[in-house]
Formats: sequence, C-alpha cells, structure tokens
Amino acid sequence: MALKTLVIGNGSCAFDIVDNLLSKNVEVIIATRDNSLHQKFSEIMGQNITEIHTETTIHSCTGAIGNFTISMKNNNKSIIRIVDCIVIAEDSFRKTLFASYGLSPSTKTISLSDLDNPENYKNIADENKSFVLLKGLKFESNPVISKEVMDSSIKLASHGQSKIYILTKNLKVAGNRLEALYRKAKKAGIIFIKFTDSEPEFFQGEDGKTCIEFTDEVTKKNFSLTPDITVVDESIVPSDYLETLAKTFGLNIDCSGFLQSDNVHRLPAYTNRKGIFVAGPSRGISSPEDYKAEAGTAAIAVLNNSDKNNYDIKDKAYINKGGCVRCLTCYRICPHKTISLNSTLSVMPEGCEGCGLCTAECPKNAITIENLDHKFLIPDDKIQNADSASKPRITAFCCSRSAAEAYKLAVSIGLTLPEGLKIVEVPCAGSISLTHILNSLKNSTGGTIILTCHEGNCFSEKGNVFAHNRAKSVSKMISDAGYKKERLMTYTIASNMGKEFSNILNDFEKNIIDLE
Amino acid sequence: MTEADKRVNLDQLDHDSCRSWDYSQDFCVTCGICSSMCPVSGIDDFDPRKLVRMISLGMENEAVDSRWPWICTMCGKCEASCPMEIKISSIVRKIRSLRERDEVPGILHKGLETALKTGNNLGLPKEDFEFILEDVAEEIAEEPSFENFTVEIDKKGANILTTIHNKLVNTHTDDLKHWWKIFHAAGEDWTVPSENWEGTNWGLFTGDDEAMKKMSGRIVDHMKNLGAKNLLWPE
Amino acid sequence: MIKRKHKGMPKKNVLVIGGGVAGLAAALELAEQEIGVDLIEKSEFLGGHAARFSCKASGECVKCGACIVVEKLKKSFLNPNIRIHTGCKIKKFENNGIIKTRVDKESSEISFESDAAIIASGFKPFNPVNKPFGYKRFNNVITNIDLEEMLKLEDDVVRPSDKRFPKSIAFIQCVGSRDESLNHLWCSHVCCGSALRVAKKIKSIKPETEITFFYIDVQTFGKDFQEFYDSMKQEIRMVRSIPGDILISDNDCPQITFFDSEKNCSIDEIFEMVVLSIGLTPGEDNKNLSELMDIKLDDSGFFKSGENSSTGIFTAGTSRGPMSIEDAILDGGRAALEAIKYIDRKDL
Repeated sequence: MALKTLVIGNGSCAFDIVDNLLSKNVEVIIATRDNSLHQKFSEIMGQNITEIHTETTIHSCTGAIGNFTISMKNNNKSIIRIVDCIVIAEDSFRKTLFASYGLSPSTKTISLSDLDNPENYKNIADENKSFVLLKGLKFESNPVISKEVMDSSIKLASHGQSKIYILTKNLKVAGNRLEALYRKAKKAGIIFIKFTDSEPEFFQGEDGKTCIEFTDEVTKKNFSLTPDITVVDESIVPSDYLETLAKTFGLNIDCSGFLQSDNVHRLPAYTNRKGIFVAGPSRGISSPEDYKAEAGTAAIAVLNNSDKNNYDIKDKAYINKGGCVRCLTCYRICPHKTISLNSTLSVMPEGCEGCGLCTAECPKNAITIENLDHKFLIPDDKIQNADSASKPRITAFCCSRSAAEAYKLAVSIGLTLPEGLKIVEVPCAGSISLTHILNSLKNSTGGTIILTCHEGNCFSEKGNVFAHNRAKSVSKMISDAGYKKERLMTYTIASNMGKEFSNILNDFEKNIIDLE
Repeated sequence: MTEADKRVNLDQLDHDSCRSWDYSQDFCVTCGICSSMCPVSGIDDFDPRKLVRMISLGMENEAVDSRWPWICTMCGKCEASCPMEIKISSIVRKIRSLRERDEVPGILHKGLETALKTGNNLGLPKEDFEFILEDVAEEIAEEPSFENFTVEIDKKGANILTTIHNKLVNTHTDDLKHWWKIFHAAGEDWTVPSENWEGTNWGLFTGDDEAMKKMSGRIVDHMKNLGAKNLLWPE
Repeated sequence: MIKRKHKGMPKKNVLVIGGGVAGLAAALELAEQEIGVDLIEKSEFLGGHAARFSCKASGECVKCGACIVVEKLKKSFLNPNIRIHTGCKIKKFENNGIIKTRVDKESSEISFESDAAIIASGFKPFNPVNKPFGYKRFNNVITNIDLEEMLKLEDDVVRPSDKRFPKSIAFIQCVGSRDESLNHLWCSHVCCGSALRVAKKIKSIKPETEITFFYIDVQTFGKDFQEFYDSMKQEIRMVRSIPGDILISDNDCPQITFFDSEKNCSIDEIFEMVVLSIGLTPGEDNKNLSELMDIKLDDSGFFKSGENSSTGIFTAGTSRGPMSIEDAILDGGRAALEAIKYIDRKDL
C-alpha cells in the first residue's frame, strides 16, 4: 500500500513537499482554502497522481498515524479521506507596521511589500529621488526582513537613486551571506543609521510624506530626513488559518502562533501529534532557502513511516474498560492527542508515545502501560541487601530523555554518586503518580528525588510540569503530617549534564545525612 | 539657537562628496573598536569613528573645520584594529590637508614653515647646530673607552648618513649619546649633514604633500651629494 | 487517480563525512530509509563541537539544542544501518558513479563503496590568539567554547586563575566574525545566542554577577527572541562597542578599554573574567576535501551552497557556513533527501 499524505498549503514550501513526496511515490492529497493552486503546481499536475481540493477547509481529524480520518468541507460539500500522514505548510502572512510607527499608509509612506511588487516598483523608483527604509525600530527584526530591505535598497540604488537610507536598530546579518550583502549595500552608497536606545521621531504631513528627526549616535548630530518615500518594514506572522488548524488537529503552537511548540524535541518537522508534520512558513520564520530545506525534512519525516508494520505499538497506554468512568481526563491531557473518543475511550497505540501522563492522572487508575508500573515496583535487590546503615537509600525518579541520560553519562565518566542510589527510569516524569511518590517515600530510608527535563523541553510538552506539581502537593502533605519535606526534592536537568547530575545527587545525599 | 535649529537636513548633504576618497570609509559597521583603541578618544568629544562617519555622510567641511582631526596623534592603532580595513589615519591626514595652511594649528604650521625656510623645525642656525653636536661629542669622549670619539659632519662616502630629530639638539641632547656610542663601539663609518638635517617631517601631520616631498627631497639630495651608502632616518 | 505500488528500496549505501550534528542527522534520516550509512569521523568521538556545549537552561529550557546531540548519538549507535568509523582519515576518493573511498584507521586501511556522499565536516572555531584581547596570555580571558565546556564538565563557572566564581564578566562578541581584514565577511549566527543564553544561566546561578555584553548588532535567535532580549536588557549591561586593548590588572583581572558612545569617552574597566565569543570559520579539512572530492569552495572557504546533484556529493551543516544546531539538523535532513533523490534518479 502506498503511503497516503494530506498536504495543507498552497505556496512554494507546500509545492516542494508535494514534489519531494511524489518523487518517492507517495500518494498526495492537496487541500487549500484558495480558489486555485499556485501556478508552480502546474509542473506536477500532468503526473495525475495528486488529488487536489481547492476552496477546501479541514473540518475534523480523528484517528492516528497510518489511519487519520480527515473530514473536509468544500463549500457545503463534505469530503472524507483516510490518510497515513499530514503535512501542514501554509504560507505565512505579512503584517504592516505603520501603526507601530504612528504612520498611515499613503503614496509616500509605503510598506516593504509595496516595493517588492514589480508593477508599483517602476513608478515608485522612477518618480522619486530619496528613500528611507525603516527596519526593526519598534520590534526586533529578523534576517529575512533584513535581506529584503537590503535587496530592495540595492535595487533602488542600481536604478540610479542616490539618497537611500536604512534606519535600523540591531542589523540582522545572521543569514546566509548577509554580511556580504550589507557590504554590497554600503558599496552601492546606501547609508545605514543605527539606533540603540534612542529612536527616531516621525511626523507625517498631509501629503502623506513622512519627516524623520533623530540624533545620530555616532556623530551626535541632530538630523532630519524628508524623503520622497518612506518604506516601513513588516513582520512575518503565521497564517490566520493556523489557529483553526491547531484546534482541529489538537496541535500546540509557539508564542507567535506558528504550528510547532517551541520545543527542541519537535525539530525538525514534528508536532505533538505523531504523523502530523509541519514545515516552512507554518513552522516559523526562515529564509526561502531554509524553507526549501524544511520541505526536504518534512518529506523525509513522512517517508520514515513507509513501513506500517514498523509502527511501534509496544508499551503503550491501555484503558481498562472496567475501571474507566469516562471522565475524559486522559482525553483532555494526552499531549499526543491519541485517545479515541467513541462509545468507549481507548488509546490508539500507533499515536501513543508511552509517556504515561494519562496513567498517572487517571483518577480511577484505569490506565496502565505494560512494563511501566512493573519497572517502578521492581525491588532492587542489590540496594536492599547493601549495608545501608551508613548511607541513606535514595530513590531517584529519572525522566528517560533527560535525567536518565545524564545519569548514564555520569557513570560513564566515572563521577561519584551516592552509594544508596536507586535509579527509577520513567518514560516521562509526567508518569510519576502521587502513589509512586508516596510509595517511594515509604520504602526509602533516605529520600526521594524527582529529576525531570527543563520546562519547555518535555517531549510530552507538560509532563515535567505535572511531575513538579505533584511533588509540590506531596511535599505539602508530608510536611503537614510532620515529615521532613527535604526528603522529597525535584530538580530539572538536561541529558548532556553528567556532572550536574552527580552534584545534585551528592548534595541531596548530604542534606539527607544532615537531617539524620 | 535651540537644538532644533541646529538640526541638519541629512538628505540635503552631498553624501558623494568624499566618495572618491579611496579609504573604504563607507564600509564602517560602527563596531567601535577604533574608538575603543584610540588613546585620545573622548578628548573634546573626539573619536575616530565619528570622523569616519562624517566623511561617509559627506560632512567634509565640518570635519575640516573641526578641531578633531588635530587631536589625533596618528598612532594608527585604530586602523590596525579596524575589521573593515578602513584607512582611518589616511582619512585624518586627508582632512588635515584640506585645511587652509594658515589655519593649521600653530606649532605644526610654524614648525613646518620654519623647516621649509631654514632646514629644521627650530630654525637652528648651522653654526649653533654644529656647536651642539661637537659639544655632545666632547661629552662622550670624556667617558671611559670613548676617549677618541668624534662626530664627523658632512663626511663624504660614509656608510651611514643619519638625520636628527630636532628634539635631540634642543631639549634631549643626552638621547643622541646612546646610539652614537653604539656606532662608535661597532666601528661604524657614519656622518650627519650640517644643513637640512631635520628628521621629522611635519608635512605628514599637516597633510601637506608638497612640504613632505620637499623635506624628503633634501635627504635624498644629501645621500647623493655626500655619496652615503645607507640612510638612517630615525623619527 | 492512479495508485502506485510502493517499491521496496534496494540496499544502497551513502558515505557521510563527519560525525557532528549535521552528519548524525543526515545519517539517521538515511538509515530510516533503509540506506546503509558509513559514517566516518576523524576524531575518536562522535558529536562534533556541539557535544562540548553545555545545557544553558536555568529551570526553563532556552532552546540552545545542546541536549539534542545526545539523542542523535544514542539513536545512531542503536541503528543497525549506520556503521560508525571513528579515528578515520580519508586517503583516497574516487567517483565514477560509484564512490570508492579508502580511509586510514589506526594502522589499518578500510575501503567503502557508496552510491552518494554527504560532506558534513563541520567548522573550525576561530583562534583569537592574534586578536588584542589577551587570549592565552591572560588566564582569565577565555572563549565561549571554553566556558560552555566548563559549565558542562564542571557544572560551575570559575576563573581559571583561582577557581573562584567571577563577580563580573565581560562578553566580547564578533571575535573573528564580521571581519574583512581576516577575510571573514560573515556573521557566525550562533554567538549572540550562545553568549546571552549563558549570561542568563550565570545570572540565575548568581544573580549578583555583573555581566557586560559588548556587541555590534544583537542577532535574532530562538522563537521568543523579543521577550528574551527585552528581559536580558534588564539583567545585563549592553554596550554597543567592541573593546580595544585588554591589559592585566591586579589579581589577574583583565582591564578592558572601551568607547562608551553615550558618555562619548573611553572607559577603563576591570572585569574578573572576559569571554570572547569566537566565530565559526571554515573547517580545516575543507581545502583538502574540496580537492580530493572535486567540490568547490566559495570565496570564504566554506563549501558552496549549490548542490552537486550530478555527482552525488552533497554538503551539509557548518561545512557550508555558520549555522545553529537547529539549522544543522534541518540541513542534514535536507542533504539526506537530496542524496536519496540522487540515488533514485541514478536507478532509473
């Protein structure tokens, strides 16, 4: 069976993804809100292997990787498709920044994209002599806008314009060959005026022209500029469609609303939901060439699911129907959106990452992961039999992606660790339930320590936060009960920090010994 | 006059006025290392980056009229550290060169005028110069193992001809002794010209190429006329 | 709609040169596609420079990406399609459709046949000894890589001279970057992020530490840059000027002279430690590899960005120019796909 993929989007990046997928014989369905496909797609239309739905929005998505049921709406027509994977590559939008500068758009005060428009450009360049381009004066800019501003300026200079000014705060040159472009712009006679803490003042006349007054930070001179044309920069914002898509697919967004949470574990093209990928202008702000690279990585992420027999369905969460009271806690908290809501609740194992958040949170203890509880309960004979008279027994719950790796690193480079240390590796700290913590406190002669990844680094998005909150409530409980709350501690740590792991554990042991 | 009155309309400036200066001034990224390196940054609000910037913007007249180019000691640290290879010392010198000669700061202007007229910045007559040199030589000869030390002025065919910094025959005569003694100990065949012996060339500092050429030409003439083999031109 | 049958991929092999982030990312993507990978690395360890970097979180992850290296390494070791060869030096390279490579490993010689190759040979950190900042002359002048390593291996920030936590630290940006005089006409992309993230971590360990950041232009990094930058401006002193000479003062403290644009004068200030944010420069093997494999370098000495899709040799990561860990992962994936497409085309 061919791999079937839904691609949502209608720009260069979406095209590159479709092109990449078709070349690997993936069956592609394209869905876009637009009336017609971008002309780029005509290159691949002839191949007749793509199903295209224009003027189509996504209505709902159920199921998991390998078996997503997508319901789409075309006008009032409903279209249902079953696909293996989904890639979202909607183009981003440009937001004008006139308002932030206190300016209004006019024929003399224009937005950066207006200059990019070839029809406008010639008139503007022919009829005007002096230009001021504003860049990143109100908000920090980025290399993409920086490149556009410099490219446009160089084009104007080559058109014979001699008075071109770029007013900027931090000049963004962290992009491919941008420092060389900066030099090229200066060679073309473009004057850069940089601001640090001060800002220019803007006055717009009735003719729409903008007058700018400022103190140059280098010469300390008070200058004014009365350019024929003022070009205001823009910010790159996510498509307004992404918010809907995020809700429909249950995907997390970043602080700007792009469709990938700001989490390094989602790199390069992953989302919190297995089998749904995101690329290019739906993922964040990058240069067109980086978007091309992202189209490649998104395509390859799809291709990695070619062999359906390889879906990992071992050690996944299982809902015990007898115990379930349909409170929907699991459905609500599952970070990977893989609880299916039918007459009974069930976990779709293909989409389950085995993080165990649901097992810890289920109020009826009706969800289990094979091996998970087992791992917790295994008595460590070695430690139990060890002479623990002098050294306290310490149980360390370690998130498998962070603390457990740091532990292994510490061991591999021979760092000292407490003698009575018992490591309990958990898939995600979010799977550590109140019962686990209480049991551990009951069984440990020394203390219990919970080590999670740092906030914002959790593979299950908020598993670490769950763990810290649970520990906090237990801490309060035991301290209310007169038990020393220092016996239960939580820390955050990264996988590559072996020494830090050893320091945390040794300090913890020392504090426990001091308690006794 | 209020601050606003002093506001300069930037787009009325001719930014191309200095563009033919081949000192890479337009490539400045305003990193500031030149001004951090400069030993006189901050004096009367001077810093080298400011001058580079003014020239790049075409504020030539203001730069020429200002005191700033004359605060610079032309040590060259700014230029040596500039990541964009801007020839900052050359810019300073060029700005200095554009000032009316009689507007050049007093000591430099007077010194150079005197040197052009008399052969040295001090206007020291030939007889006085020779007297000083011989006096220094006699002092050296009083020291043990330099008993037969002499200075031979205008000697033809010497291996080394050396120029003299005017300070060394004015306030710092003792400084002559060190290297003269080295010459003696090394058995060097050396001489000093009796006229036009000035080693400093203030045309460099005032940006006066003509004067610089004239002063240098005098040394070249000495080399030819005295038939000296090597030139030692300390400054 | 025509349904095409999914063809099983015939067993193919790709040579990946370099076991840093980009090389590992490329190798993993290829291996997932059932392509055999010979991953050769000249040092004894995989992970490249990024493996020396520290986590910069202070409770909250700051998305530096250093921890991702561990994950990539673990996956590479576990993947049977990836054959790892460390301590290797390429001796011979022939490309006649089939790429034949011979490498020296210890005293023996190994040969590989590959259908395509990916160069991911990385970068060389700029050596700042010839800059006027006293590196290697003054104990308490270190590079950002030294600092990252110290944080990772010692879990502490100390002055090399007396192993004491420095009360004041100066970060100097763009050392060896944005420098035409060195023929380094590029921004190194990652140093602003590295320095400011470490600065934040130091402030969280010891809030009373006085940190000064000397810079030209602060570069954008991370998705929440605006917020991060605004908060850093409150926590540390930002000086938009690159310092001049560094001299040594009492107690091994570096004394920095810098031009204060606001006060319009030079200031001499004593810091307890100075951190130089050194740039990324072309890898030391670039020239050699370029000749051996007949792949062009650009005028900066990095591998050209344009793909060599006709020869089956692709480039990835910082061998192409400065980039962050995140971008190197993306770029490794991109190169892997290019290689796969090349192999497919060749098969037709």
